[in-house]
Amino acid sequence: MFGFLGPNGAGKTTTVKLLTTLLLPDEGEAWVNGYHVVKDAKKVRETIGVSLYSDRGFYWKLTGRENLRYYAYLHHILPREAEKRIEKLLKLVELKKDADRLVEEYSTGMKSRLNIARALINQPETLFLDEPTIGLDPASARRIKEIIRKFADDGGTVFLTTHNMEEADQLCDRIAIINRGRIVALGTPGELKEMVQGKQVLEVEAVGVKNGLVDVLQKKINLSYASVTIVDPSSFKARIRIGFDGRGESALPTILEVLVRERVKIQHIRLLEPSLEDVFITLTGKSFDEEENR
Amino acid sequence: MQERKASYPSTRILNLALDLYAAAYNSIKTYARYPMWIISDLLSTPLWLIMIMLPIMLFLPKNEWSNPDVYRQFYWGMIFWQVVSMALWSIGFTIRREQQMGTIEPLFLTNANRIVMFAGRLVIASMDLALSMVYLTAVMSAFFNVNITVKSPILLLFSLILSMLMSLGIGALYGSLVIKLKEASALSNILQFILIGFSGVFFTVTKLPENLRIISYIIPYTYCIDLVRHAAIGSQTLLEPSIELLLVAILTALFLIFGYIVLIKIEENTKKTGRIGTY
Amino acid sequence: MKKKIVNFLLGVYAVYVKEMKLWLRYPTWILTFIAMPYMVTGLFSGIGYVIGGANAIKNFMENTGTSEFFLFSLVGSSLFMISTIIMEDVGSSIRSEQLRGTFELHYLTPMSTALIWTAHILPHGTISLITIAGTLIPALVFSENLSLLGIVETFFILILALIPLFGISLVIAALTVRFKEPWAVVQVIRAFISVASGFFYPIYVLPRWLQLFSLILPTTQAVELIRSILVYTRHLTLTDYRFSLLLILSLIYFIVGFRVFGRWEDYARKKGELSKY
Repeated sequence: MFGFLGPNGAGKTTTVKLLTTLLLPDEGEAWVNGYHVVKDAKKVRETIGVSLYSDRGFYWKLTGRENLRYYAYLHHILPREAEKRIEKLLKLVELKKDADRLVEEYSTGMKSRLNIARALINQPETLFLDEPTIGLDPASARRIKEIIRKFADDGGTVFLTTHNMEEADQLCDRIAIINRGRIVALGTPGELKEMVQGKQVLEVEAVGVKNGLVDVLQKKINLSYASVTIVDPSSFKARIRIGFDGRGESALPTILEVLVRERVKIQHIRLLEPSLEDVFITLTGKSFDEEENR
Repeated sequence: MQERKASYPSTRILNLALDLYAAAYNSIKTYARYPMWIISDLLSTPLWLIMIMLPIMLFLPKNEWSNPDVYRQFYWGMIFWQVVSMALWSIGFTIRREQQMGTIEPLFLTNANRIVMFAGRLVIASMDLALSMVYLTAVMSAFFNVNITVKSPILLLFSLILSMLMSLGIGALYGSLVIKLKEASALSNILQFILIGFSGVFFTVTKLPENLRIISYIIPYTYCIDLVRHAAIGSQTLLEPSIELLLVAILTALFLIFGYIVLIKIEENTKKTGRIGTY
Repeated sequence: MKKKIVNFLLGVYAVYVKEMKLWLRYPTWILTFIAMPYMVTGLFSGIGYVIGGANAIKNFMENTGTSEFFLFSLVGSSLFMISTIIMEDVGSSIRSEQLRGTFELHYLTPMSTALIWTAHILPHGTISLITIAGTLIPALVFSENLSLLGIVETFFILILALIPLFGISLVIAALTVRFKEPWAVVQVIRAFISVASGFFYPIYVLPRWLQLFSLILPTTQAVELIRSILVYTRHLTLTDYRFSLLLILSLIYFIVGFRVFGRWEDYARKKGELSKY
C-alpha cells in the first residue's frame, strides 16, 4: 500500500491521472506494472483499476449491477466471466442486496463501495484510489479501508491518495508526502516520523486566535515549529500545533502566559507524540490547512 | 494473468462487438427507464409532421392537399430528417452528457473503441427511426388515408444502414467540435436547417436552382437521401444507382475513419490540457 | 404595508436580475432567438417555393389572403419561439435549481415562493420583447407594413399573451418537477399547442374538432391578432372577439396555472420532494 499524502492542490490527483493515462505529461517518464504510461497506455489500462471520485461516475438510471456489467464489457470481459466477477464483487463490497436498485437511489457510501467494485472489475494488479473515503461516515470509511487492505494482502498494489494523515498512517506501508507538485518526503510511516523523533508536540485548541500569534510564540520560546489551523473563522477558533525539540512540558508555563497575554481563550491543551502532520510542518513550515489556504 | 488472457479474447472483432453491445446495453436500458420519453416521442412525432406539412402545403393549390404523393413526400422527409439529425445530436451531446455525469474518465480508463463507446445514442436513434417509420405509416393511413409502400425494401434497409453509419462518422467529427465549443446547440440548430434545406430532405435537389444545387452536391447526405428516396418511391437518382451506392459506401467509410482519428486526437488533446472531465 | 411592498419589490428585483444575468451570460442565445425565426421561415418558404413551383406565391395568396408569405411565417415563427421559451423556462429553471441544490433554499426565505416564480414573468417578458423586436422590425422595415401604431399594438398583445403562457408554464413546471422528466412533458404539450395555435398557417386548414380546441388556446388568439395587425395591416379594435377572448383566457390560464403549481408545492412539501431530483 503506497500512500500519497498532501494538502489539496498539492498534485495528488494530477499524479494519479498521469499514472493512469488520463493525462499526458509535458515531460518525464513513468511506468506502471512495467508498462510505459504513454507508449503502452493500453497495456497500463488493462492492468490497473482506478477510483477517481468516491461517489460520481455512474449512470443514474442503471442499477449497480448494470453499471458494473457495462464497464465489464468495455473492459472486454466476456458476459459469463463478467457475471461471475460482478457477483463476487457485489458480495465483497456488501452491495448484493441493493445490486438491482437504480444508482440514483444509492447513498454516498453505497456509491463509494460501487466505485471500488468498478475499479476491481478487470482484476487489476494495481489499484489507484484517489481519496476513497472522502465525505464518508466512519462506518463506510472503515469498510472501504477493509476492502483496500484485503486487496493489498492478497498481493495487489494500492496507490492511495489522501490528505487524511491518520488514514495514511493506518493503511500505508510506504508514504510519499507531496507539496506543490514535489515529493518532499518518502518512506515508511516509521521512517518519516523519525524525522521528528525526539520532538514533542503541544496542541492547543483556542478561541480568539489572531494573526501573528506564531511570531510572538517563536520570539518567546525555542520552538521547532508552530502552525495555526483556523477551525472556525467567525469565532477565530483555531488549533495551534507547536513542536519542540525534547520535552515540551517545561515550555508550557511560558506558552500559557503568552496566550493569556494575547487574550486567547484556551479550550483544550494536550501533549502529543509527533504525527505525519508534524513531518509535513517540519519539511514545509506550514500545516496542511495553511498550505491549502495560501 | 492466465485468467485475464482467457477473459480478454485476442480478436479485435470480438472486442468491438463487446464495445457495441455495452453501448447499446447502456442506452437501451436507460431509455427504457424514461417511459415518458417514449410516450412523448410517439405522441409528438405526428404533431411535428403536421406542423411541417401545413405551412408548406399553403404553397400548393387546394386540390393538391388530398394528393397522396404529397403526403408520401412529407413522410419520407420526416424519416430523412431523423437520419440527418443523428449526426448533429448524437455523439457530441453524448460526450457532453458523459462529462456532466462524471462518467467520461472511467470510460477513457478502458480500451473500448472510442467511436463505438459513444455510439449508444445512435443505437437509440436507430430504434426511434424504426419505430417512427412504423408509427408514421399507421398515422398516414389512419388520418390521411395514405398508404406508404416501399419499392425496394432491401436497398432501403441497406441505404438506411449506410446513412446511419455515415451519421456516426460525421457525428464523431462534429462531436469533436462540440467538445471544443462546450456549447454548440446554436450551431447544431443552424446546421440542421442548412442540411434540411439543401440535402433534399423534403424534395429532390434537382428542384433547386442551379446555383444553389452546388451546395447540395457538397453535402454527403444528399446522396444518402437520394438513394433512400429511390429505394422508397422509385425516384430518379442523381447518379446511376450503383455508382451512388458505391459513393455512399466510400463516403461512409471515410467519415468513420476520419471521425475515429479526430476523436482520438481530441482525447489526446484533452489529456494534455487536463480537460477531459471539464464541461 | 409599506414594508411588505418594499420586500416584495426587492424579491422581484432579485429574481429579475438573477434571470437576466443568466440569460446575458450566454448572449448567443439571444442571437439564436432572433435568427431562428428567420431560419424556420426560410426553410418553410424555401421548401414551399420549390414544391409549389411557378405558382407557389399565387397559391399562397389564395390560401391565406396575402402574398406576404415571408412576413406571415416570420410572425408565426417568432411567436412560436417566444411561447416555447416561456412555456419551458420555468420548468427547466426549477429543474436546474434542483440539480444545483438551490431550489429548496428558496423555501427558506420569507418571500412567498409563488411570487418568486411569478416574478419570472418579467425577465421572460423582457426576452420576448427583445426577440420580437429584433425579429420583426427588420422584416417590417423591408415590407410596406411598418407602422408605429402596429408595433405598439403588437407589443400590447404580446404582453397580454405572456400572462396565460406563464400560466401554462407553471403547469408544465409542476408536472415536470413532479415526474422528474421535464423534456418529455414539455415536448408533448408544446407540440400540441404549436399545432393547434396556427403559428404557421390559418386555423381553417385544421380539422373542425381541432379548430374548436384552438379557440380556447390563448396563443391562437395572439397569433391571429398580431398577424392581423402586421400582415393584414388591420388595427386592433377592442370589440374584436379575439381580443376579448384573449383577455378572458389570460385570466383563466394564469389562475389555473397558479393553483396547479400551488397544489404541487403542497404535495412536494409533504412528501419531501423539494430536494429530490
